[in-house]
Amino acid sequence: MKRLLTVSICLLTLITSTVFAQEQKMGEIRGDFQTDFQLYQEDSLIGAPPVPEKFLMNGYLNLSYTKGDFSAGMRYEAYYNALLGFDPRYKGNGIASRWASYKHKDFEITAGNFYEQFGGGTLLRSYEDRSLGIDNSIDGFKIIYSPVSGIYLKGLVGQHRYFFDKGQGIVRGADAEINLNEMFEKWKDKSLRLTFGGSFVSKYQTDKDPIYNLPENVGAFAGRVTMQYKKINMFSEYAYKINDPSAINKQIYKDGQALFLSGSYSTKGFSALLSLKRIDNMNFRSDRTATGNMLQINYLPSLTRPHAYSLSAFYPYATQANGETAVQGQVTYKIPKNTKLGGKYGTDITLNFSRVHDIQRNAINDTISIGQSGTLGYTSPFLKIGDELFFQDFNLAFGRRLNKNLRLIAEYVYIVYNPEVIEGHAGNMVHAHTGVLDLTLKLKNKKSIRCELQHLYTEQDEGNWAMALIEFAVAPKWSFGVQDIYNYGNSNSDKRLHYYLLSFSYTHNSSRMAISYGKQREGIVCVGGVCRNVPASNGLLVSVTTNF
Amino acid sequence: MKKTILLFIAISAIISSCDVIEPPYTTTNTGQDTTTNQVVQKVYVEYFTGHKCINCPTEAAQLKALKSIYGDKLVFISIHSGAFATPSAPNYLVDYRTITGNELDANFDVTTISVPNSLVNRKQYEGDVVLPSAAWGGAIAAELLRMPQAAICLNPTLSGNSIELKAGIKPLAQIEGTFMISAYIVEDSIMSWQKNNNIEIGPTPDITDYYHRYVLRTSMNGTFGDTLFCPVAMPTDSFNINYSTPADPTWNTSKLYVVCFIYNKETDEVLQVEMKKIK
Repeated sequence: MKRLLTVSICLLTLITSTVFAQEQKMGEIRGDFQTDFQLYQEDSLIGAPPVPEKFLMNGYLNLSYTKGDFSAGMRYEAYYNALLGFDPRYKGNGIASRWASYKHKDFEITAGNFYEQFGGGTLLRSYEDRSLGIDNSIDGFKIIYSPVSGIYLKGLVGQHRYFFDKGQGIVRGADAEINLNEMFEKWKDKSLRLTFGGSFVSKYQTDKDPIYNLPENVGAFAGRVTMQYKKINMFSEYAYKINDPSAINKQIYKDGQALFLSGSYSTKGFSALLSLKRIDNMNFRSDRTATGNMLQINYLPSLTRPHAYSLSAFYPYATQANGETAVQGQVTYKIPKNTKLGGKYGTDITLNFSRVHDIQRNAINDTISIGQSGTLGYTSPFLKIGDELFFQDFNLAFGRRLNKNLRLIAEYVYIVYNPEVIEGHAGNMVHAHTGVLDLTLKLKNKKSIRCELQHLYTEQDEGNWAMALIEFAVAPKWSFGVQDIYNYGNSNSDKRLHYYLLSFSYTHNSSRMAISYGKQREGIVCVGGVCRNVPASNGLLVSVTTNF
Repeated sequence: MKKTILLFIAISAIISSCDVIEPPYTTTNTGQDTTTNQVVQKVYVEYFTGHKCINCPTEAAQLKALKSIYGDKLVFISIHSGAFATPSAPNYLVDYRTITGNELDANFDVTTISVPNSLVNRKQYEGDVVLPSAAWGGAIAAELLRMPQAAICLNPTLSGNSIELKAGIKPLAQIEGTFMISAYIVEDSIMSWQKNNNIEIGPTPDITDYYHRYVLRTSMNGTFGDTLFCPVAMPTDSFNINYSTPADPTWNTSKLYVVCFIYNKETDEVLQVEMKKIK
């Protein structure tokens, strides 16, 4: 690995110097750095685990080189050691990815690490999300080809990245997409836009298990339709997977299915969205023993609203790949300006509702219990919804400029949260009501003051919380903030703690430095239904990013 | 056109890549060695768990299934460590955590990844040392294919409240490196509360009379043991060790076992393990 790193750095230095020497005639280099480091203080009161190193760091460097149809790149990563909450197997440093690609007209080929998504990702999505510690890039070959206008074919083979190594399984996939409006001349100007797609993905992993007869090749396929007609958009995708016993589904041999349906209508000042989802045993990983966020082939997004405010985001939802039925609806309306209700500047209203249940699971027969390992597990009628509630979110948000310089956002969120299912530990169903007030006052000379007041009421879990934040910014460079989150309603009086946080950020051109000092409560961070646990911590966090 | 044909061939090859498994889904291999006078390779599993870990009874059942296949060739101990092992009122007041368990957890980064997980001979299997349940079977099977390189003979006794151990270690081949010896005390079948989410195993969300198997109680010679030999041991060599440790009065001495294993100090990999009941 060290040799590879040295060679890569030498090559890049050589390329860089050559490029600059020849006044960029040889191509273009782009890149970005990011380093996050944290100095930890012991704090047993908030449950912060001891950090023997005291100081932890995650660092990333992306470099890419482009010349004409050719491009190449690499990513260097360093973890000394990984920040709390990230998988400790991210350790040391190394070249996390490297790739070369050639694209000419309708043909593109990539060797090395690449990211890809088939359709909505129900069958295959390879992506990076640093905030979650996810990088399931595929190391192998990828070909994209468009034989005629409107037809797009993709094929790939490779292995997932697994920390600084590769996963055990081999992923093979193919995808075809037909866009009728691009394909047929007479469809080009039609209001109806139609796209059809189909995918097939298979993984290979040897079977060495002494108990189970495991499938070494597991295949899955999916079909999708995207339709757009004037102001209406519709998307549907169905996926099916053959028997795939794994650590996640507790070694059951049932096939898997997923169905996504989404429709939206959008016009000036109004939009409406309705989405439905059913997942049944659709965890799909290149290694059947993998858990956590590692080695995932597919991506199953949650049909819930991602909340931005601290207390509203206390109870996020994580997609349950073993089975769930979800519905989400959202209506956004802008009350016109200069009306009695809308005020001088208009008022934005967003109403969102989502609810997630288990799927209906029936025993196969009298002798096999539901989900029993080494069996088909259960049967599940496709249109029946299970009784157990996993999650519900009702939220209403208002946004309004009160005058030229003052803007108000108000939000109410009511969440019902099943910790046993979502977090995997015992606990009562949480009913949390959260109110948020966010006021931003613009001052002279690009200065502004923002104030957040939040309150969460619940009789379960850790009880009530209150939060206040005040932030002063000088756009576009400086920002200073002070916040306190107070768990004043904890039933244990010893745990009625304050989580103070001071923050500062400075932005200069494409570089940004952010510093925060204070306490962070234990919680979960989720992006699109994929989550990671964040342990409590107390200390100084510095983050530096730059692009070039 | 050539590109299209190539893609078509590739897609066809991928589509044919499906193995549909028909019942029975499990094998009938017992794996048990019936020979008695022969030294066999044994495999050592350190199972990290916690009484508040809701998934653990299901995973422990997996370990029991493997134990039923491999019998005495599989030696496992349960190490309670991490957030799911902390005591809490009103029902989870027992503290099964130990200094040894906590140090092992910190050293191998087990519970920070997830719980439950296991170490199988503290050896990397398919890229990982910390293994989830689905990997245990493969890792154990792979380890048991190795030829035994050492034999361990244990003679534990209980004298008053003192546990005494006399052990003899005999290399069966030339072994190079620094090798350590560790001796742990475990208590079997401790009945207490355990969180559970599997009705197949027991009541949910709490099993009030759960039997915790082979729970690590203490180490006789420190978490990481003592040096047994360095830099080489020959088949003509033999090593004898003596350890003693006090038995805690809360332990059920009739359920105590000693687990003794040899491991490579550089790689952490366990070479051989033996387990014997004390009383």
